Amino acid sequence: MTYFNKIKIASLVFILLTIYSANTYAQWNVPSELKKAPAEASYELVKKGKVVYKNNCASCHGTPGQGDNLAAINATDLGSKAFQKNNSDELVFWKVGEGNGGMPSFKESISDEDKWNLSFYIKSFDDKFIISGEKIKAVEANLELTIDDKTKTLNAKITVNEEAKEDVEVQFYIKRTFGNMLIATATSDNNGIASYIMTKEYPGDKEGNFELLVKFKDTDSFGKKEINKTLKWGTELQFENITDKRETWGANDRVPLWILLSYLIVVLSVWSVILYVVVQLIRLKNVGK
Amino acid sequence: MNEKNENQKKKEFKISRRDFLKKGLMAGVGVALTGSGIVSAFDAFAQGGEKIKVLGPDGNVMSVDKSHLKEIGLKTEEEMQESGREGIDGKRFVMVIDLSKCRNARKCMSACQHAHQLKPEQHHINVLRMDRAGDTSPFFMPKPCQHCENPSCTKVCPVDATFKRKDGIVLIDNERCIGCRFCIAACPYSARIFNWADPKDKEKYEDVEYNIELNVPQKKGTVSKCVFSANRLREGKLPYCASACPNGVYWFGDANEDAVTNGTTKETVSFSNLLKNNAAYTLLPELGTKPSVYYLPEKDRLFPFEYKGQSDMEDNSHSV
Repeated sequence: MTYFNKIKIASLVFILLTIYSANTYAQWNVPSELKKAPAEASYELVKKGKVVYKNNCASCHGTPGQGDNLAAINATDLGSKAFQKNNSDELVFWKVGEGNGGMPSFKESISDEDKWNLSFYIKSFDDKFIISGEKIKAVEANLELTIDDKTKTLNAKITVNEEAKEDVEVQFYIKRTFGNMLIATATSDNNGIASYIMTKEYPGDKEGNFELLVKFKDTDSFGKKEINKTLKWGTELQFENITDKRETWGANDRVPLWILLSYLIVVLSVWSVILYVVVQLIRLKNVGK
Repeated sequence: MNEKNENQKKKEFKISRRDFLKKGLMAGVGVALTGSGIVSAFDAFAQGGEKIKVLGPDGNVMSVDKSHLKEIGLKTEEEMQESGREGIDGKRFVMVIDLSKCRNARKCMSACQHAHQLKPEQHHINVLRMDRAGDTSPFFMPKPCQHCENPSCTKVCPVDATFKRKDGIVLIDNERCIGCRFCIAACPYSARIFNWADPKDKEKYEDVEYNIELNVPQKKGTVSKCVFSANRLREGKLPYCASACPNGVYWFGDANEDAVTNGTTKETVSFSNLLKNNAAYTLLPELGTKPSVYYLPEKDRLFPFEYKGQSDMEDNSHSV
């Protein structure tokens, strides 16, 4: 490449960068020297970075390349070609640490190691980004659940091609109104069984039922197999209807009985006196006839 | 004079008759919408005809002028009123606000205002700047209605317009409200607002059925307040504010299930553990109102306090 071409490309990149950043962000004041990654990107680190991404970034940026980012708050789709073209892993690392405008700074809340893994994960959507090691292949693992009601034990058996699989993490969730609540993570032993004994009591519905969800922690490696099961292990819901309580200053139908009673007695007695007087007057008139 | 009176009577009769027809029609359309398979209405649409066939309340097919057709939701206003007063069975909704996460992004406020037909200066939820003492650090505090278990607002209402539901939500019926504002005076958290002027986009909402769980359409001269997005909860969705927050401030859930879900990360955790492990508190507990909104203290904050470029409370203006 000639010297002239190099300048051409450099200036083109520069122009693109300025247009891009001027349109979408408040300007990033990128320093001339960026921190270099301490290790080479590998698929293992990318995988770790994905977890960091899910916990910290996905709520605004969505899944990279899917376009489900929150455009309303100027969150970029990190899988987009425009982003990947202008952001090296070093730059991503720096940006995550600094924050800008609507994007918070994660300098303290995410460790440097995690930030590097995160930037490797984000850059893994760039075809030109070099990742060493072997790509982790997903296997379709099978999940079977046996339940012992007496000891409240859940045994999840993990098999791959009908062979027991060791060292697989399985997560147990309870389904709740707005999401699934993680109650335990268990790792499979050499028989491929990940077991969990439920010692804590969890609230269930009126009959004491709750719905259990079992799935692999690492869905990328073992597939998305899930098991749903309704268990009668919960505490029965004792629902106290707060609107049934009678209270002073309550609305008409919830007024305390003693107030209602004394009120009625007073009203009735006053009216009966009036009625008595009227009746007497009429009788008096009749007597005088 | 007599003639005039009679004319007026006729007019009144006409209006009530029209109303009656309208309601009957709406019921008919409602039935037709639910059982749309039976209806040949769409044929008429295709031909661009003026008359349209709908299934009547008694199962008879009727012909109706197309201009009389009005789209209604799956529920009529009466049904919405009924279910809105009742509440959702077996639930007890709670919110936990993590002050250490709030950085005044104000997305909760704009999402709320958008949903409830509010002007930018009207707040069902407001993010306040707070400072406990002079030498402490200021922080931001989102403040919705506290949905007290023992609310003082509902008890002063002379017309039973504002009320508490069995799922813990305090609502107001704008159709019943007479605008006396006793509830505004009674609320120790200043959570209620009054519609002094015509609401935002009044014309746009003219034909919309009043939804008691949404407070929409807003009505001039009535009180409005945070409704915990009761209409969203019915669909199993988190409130507008909690879903809009980019910083993970809001946890929302059901105390009966002992679970709260974060609006940003969608992570679900134990409600009681979250309160115990993070020194949670409620606002003005000495009043005995027992709020359903809990706060987690502003420790280990991720973001420094910054307001209009200043890191202290120097700027005391109340501009939003």
